[in-house]
Amino acid sequence: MTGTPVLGLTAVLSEGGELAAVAIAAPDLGLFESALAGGAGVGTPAAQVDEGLAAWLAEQNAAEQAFACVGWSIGPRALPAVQAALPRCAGRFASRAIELEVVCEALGGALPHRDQVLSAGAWEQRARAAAASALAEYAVDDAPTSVAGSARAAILAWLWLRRSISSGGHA
Amino acid sequence: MSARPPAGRAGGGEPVFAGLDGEMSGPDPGIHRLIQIGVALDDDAAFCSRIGWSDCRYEPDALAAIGLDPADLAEGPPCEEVDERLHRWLVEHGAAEGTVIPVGWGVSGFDMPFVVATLPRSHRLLSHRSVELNAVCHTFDGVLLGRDGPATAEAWKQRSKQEAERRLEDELGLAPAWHDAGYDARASLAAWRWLRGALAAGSSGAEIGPRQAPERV
Repeated sequence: MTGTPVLGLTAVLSEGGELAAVAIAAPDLGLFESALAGGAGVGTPAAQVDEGLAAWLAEQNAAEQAFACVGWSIGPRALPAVQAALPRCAGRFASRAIELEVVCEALGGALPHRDQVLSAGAWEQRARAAAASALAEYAVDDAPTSVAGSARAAILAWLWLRRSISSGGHA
Repeated sequence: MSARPPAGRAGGGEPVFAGLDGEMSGPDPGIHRLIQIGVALDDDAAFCSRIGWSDCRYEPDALAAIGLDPADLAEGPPCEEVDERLHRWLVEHGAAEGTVIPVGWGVSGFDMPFVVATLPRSHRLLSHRSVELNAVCHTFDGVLLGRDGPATAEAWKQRSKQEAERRLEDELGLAPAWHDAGYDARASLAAWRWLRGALAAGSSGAEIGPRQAPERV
């Protein structure tokens, strides 16, 4: 393995594009999750979340390499919103997030899965199913649609897609 | 699996990949301007146009990178005209609303906000999803094998750019012209196709491309 450390990211943004909640999952399914205090005053102050996340990231990677974030439909706004709301942690993230749909687009029609040619949509379905199955297998009590479950499902899907590549489509 | 349309043609609502690149007067879409747009659907189907501005703020470094002087910023048709021409060109090539998937280096985070702000009519033909080539290279990092074993994301990036440049020169007679939006759009599409070819070849154990695989880093 030559690469950058990777984390699953789910960011919930307000209508104004500000960070309202964040969940970040490690490959071992360790999780950081928090709702940020907004206009209604519900949640944790951003500075406190920033401090907690900084400590959690330090536990994940003592070498202080920048993390790449992966997610479903993560879009171009999620990571900048996280970095804007949590400035202490901003530098710990690589500048671009990896959208898992893009990975599936790359695999669609190019990498067979168990000798069957799959479309990008079929790769996406299988990656999501593999992640949900792994969550159940690890007895993690998160719905894949919750903020925490979505972050964990993202890192599991990423790991499964990369295993598929390294195994020539036999993950 | 549904069949893709022939290369360079979108049709029947089917998605088609398009290399897309913009050159800007600076990094902030709220301040700076899109001054050149390039879109490539295939080797023989590429659109490129300058966009002229009378009120363009700029960063000197941004202009220097693309070899322009401030006086050059007014050159080119206005953005409304370019938007109309690009929209017509895409439709003539079979594009329907949301069917054109932009492909590029930094396309989702950097180029698209400028396209949204400058070319709204053409933007409606683009898919909400774009293919960020950096993400593809990162996915291959350490797991897709070349001749010499696993290669890093950076090695895949450099290699795909080299292969795109080689292909454009050898097969289309295009001399390298990086930072020209038309050239960069073609190169993005060529790199995307090469990376997918590398994935297909790598997964079958075949050699990846005509040159030596990226070095292990």
